[in-house]
Amino acid sequence: MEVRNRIVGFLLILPAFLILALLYVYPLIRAIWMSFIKDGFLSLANYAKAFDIYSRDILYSVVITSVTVGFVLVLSILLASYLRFKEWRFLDIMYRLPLFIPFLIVGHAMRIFLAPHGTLNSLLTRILKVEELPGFSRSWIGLLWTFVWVMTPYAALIILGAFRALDSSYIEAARNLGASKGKIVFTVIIPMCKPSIMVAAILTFVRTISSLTILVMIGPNTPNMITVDMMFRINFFNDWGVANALGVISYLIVIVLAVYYLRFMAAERGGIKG
Amino acid sequence: MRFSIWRITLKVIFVVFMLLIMIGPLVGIVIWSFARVWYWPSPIPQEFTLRYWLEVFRQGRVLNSLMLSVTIALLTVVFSITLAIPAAYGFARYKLPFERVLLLLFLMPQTFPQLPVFINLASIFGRMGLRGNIWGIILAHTMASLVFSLWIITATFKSIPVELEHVAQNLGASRFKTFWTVTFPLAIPGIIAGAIYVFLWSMGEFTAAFFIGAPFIQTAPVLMYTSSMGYNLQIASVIAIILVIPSLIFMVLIERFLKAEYIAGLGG
Amino acid sequence: MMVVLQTQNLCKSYGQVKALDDVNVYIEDAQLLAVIGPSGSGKTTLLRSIAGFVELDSGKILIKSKDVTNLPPEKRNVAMFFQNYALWPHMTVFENVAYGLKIRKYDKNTIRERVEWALDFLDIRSLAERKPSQLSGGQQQRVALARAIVIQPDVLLLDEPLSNLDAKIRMRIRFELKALQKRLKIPTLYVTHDQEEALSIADKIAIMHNGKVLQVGTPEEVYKNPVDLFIADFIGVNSVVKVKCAGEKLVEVGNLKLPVQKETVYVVIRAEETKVLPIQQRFDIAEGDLRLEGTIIGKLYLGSKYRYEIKIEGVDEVLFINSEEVYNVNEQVQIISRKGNFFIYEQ
Repeated sequence: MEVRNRIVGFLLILPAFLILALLYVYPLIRAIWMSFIKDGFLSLANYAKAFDIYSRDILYSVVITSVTVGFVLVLSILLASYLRFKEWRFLDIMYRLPLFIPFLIVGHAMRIFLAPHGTLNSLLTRILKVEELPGFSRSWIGLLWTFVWVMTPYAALIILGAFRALDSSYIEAARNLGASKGKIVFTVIIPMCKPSIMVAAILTFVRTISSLTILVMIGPNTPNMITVDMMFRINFFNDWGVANALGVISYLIVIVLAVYYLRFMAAERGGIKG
Repeated sequence: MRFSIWRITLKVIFVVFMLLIMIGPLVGIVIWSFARVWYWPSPIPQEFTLRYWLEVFRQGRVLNSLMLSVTIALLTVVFSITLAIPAAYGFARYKLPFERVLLLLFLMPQTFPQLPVFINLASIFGRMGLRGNIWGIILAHTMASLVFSLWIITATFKSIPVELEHVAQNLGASRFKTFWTVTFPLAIPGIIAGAIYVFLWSMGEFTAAFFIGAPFIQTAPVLMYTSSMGYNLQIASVIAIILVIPSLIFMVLIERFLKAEYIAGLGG
Repeated sequence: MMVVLQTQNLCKSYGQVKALDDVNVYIEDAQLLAVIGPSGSGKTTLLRSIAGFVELDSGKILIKSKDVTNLPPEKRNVAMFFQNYALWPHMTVFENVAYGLKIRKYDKNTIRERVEWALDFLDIRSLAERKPSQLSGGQQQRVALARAIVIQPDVLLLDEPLSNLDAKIRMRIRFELKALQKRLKIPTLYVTHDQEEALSIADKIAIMHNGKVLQVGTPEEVYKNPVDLFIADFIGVNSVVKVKCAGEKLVEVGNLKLPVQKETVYVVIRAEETKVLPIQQRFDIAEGDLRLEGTIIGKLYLGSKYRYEIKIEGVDEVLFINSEEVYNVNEQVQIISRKGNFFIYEQ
């Protein structure tokens, strides 16, 4: 019966498994394989070329992404701490606004908003009574702004979820002993919610570094992030080898984080299994 | 008292600031969607027009691309949910062989960049004649959405106490009958939430649609991209608004079913 | 006498832990067998294995002489009552109760008749169209019971049925449950951790500990003749003290001198049925009665009586005895326990 049970369980998962194996795992393996193929031969030429042309972009990707994660974490922890102690419907709705807006539209909206003659500047020039202001779209500032705008709600949702799930008695005990709210956040809440904060940071990192749509809408022309480089390699040069090499490099950048995340999630799901 | 006046002033400034940075970008696209002539430094367009909005309702590429996106999204929902329900039940209730490996496999797409997979999928589909074909996009969307529809529905099944199923079995119902009369009816809200989520995601998905569909198949996001790149900001803005409105409405409806970890993947 | 349910040598381990260790119990006719034990003793595993939700390592389960060991839960015709009631929130009371009958493909009229009979039987007919969320805890319990009995199961399995009720209601429901079981004449296996509940409701009691059944008997037998220290301690309100062997093969406990094989003996005293008297008061003790002398070192007021903490000279543990008499701390007292109200075990 035990064996039969396992077979039934596997059969239930089989269709979804096949789809994933064929449409995810196979292309993934192909990406890795193709990255080592140059003119029909096994070689590291694609990697050599990728590093040769794009090493600056790879570094740029990592830096922009890391800075984004930093900003997102600070903002989302502030937000979550505030909302943990105080209900404020306005803020609750506002911070979640970007949650469901597709990235492409965010990119488009930010492009209009942050352009030199965009909505933000036409407002600011009037308030500040100046003629011209620099625009931020197509610059690293606009890119960072957009990433933070779009990533903070996810991180805040995860972190606030963890903060709210934390039993109030821990916090009340600390207050009872005379700790201020700020002190409680740093000494009780953040240490107890560390895994969730890590998950938020990892997901923000992965989603930022793998984002293409926001970049094509408002990213600077140069330097660029590796996703855009991959797109150019294919669209303009039909160069799948280097594109795949860049893909594998992006995998290598996230792999440590991904492993941590997968272990955490697998443990969690294993734990709540009925 | 002076303290509280300070507080109120601070709060007002904060509210205005929040409104500006959160709503501002959306207001921008709304104004653009009505703009006919708009020269710097006028704060609003010199001339307004409904022309670009009317294009949506006229036969033409905007309407076509929207209908195409709806078709793709609906079919994606059907496939994704049909595959996800049994798999989610399997994860929620059965002991599985190689359970850890399966778990990792189904979590992986959230954790690694999707782009390399999509471009290689495009190349594979190219050789199968599925490139520039809506079925190619539907397959890609089914695969990519499966991961989060699966976890949303798994969470729903897990939230149903297993005793409710045991009673049914105890009273003589087979496992299938138990699922059909007890588990499934109780899971419907979560399944609907998952379906809505998949629909919205598919409607706004650009990367896969672009690499697999373009240039022959132009879904709404792809058309939006090409319009925007061609500085046809009005058309792009109209499409953007049409795509955003259902998202904002449903966000309120399905919010309570969604755990952020499961939905990290939207937007792509 | 007909044996309705019989388990033969049931074994089940979870890793190193033996949840069931060679368990043999049986139910005759319409008896109510209460299985009691502390949490983790295996009693719930036993119940769930009879229902078919636990796969056994070895052993056999017979229901009406038919081997059901390898049947899936749905083919066993035993009705289980779940601790948290497990009413389906998307169905009305009527639909909940009718479910088992629908599965058995009865025609509509029969289903209606029998559901109404069950609802009447439990006095909840007026709730038929409500959803479980609109019911109180007690009402939900009745619905769950109706759902279990309406299919006329061969055996009724009750898993801590009263644990979710207030202490006051629990007392009343005990009587009702016993009366109901006698009227229905359904063989019943009743799992509880509450020994008082088991004593008051059961025809027979099986006491489990660490996966083993230690003793089976009527409530009186189990209360009066506990076969080992664990049972003597578990059943009733007791106090246990450990007494070390004084001389060669002889131990002195108060007035008693007992020949022993081992180093220590444990004395279990029924706290409710032991007298505490002033030290000077003369009291005739019969052959086999126990008399101890001690000093009151603490007392708690319990309403109708006091609970005294009493130190016996030469014994490490203190005794806890209930008494209606009033004594002060540091007062010398004598403790008299009649034969049958205390038990001595070597270990």
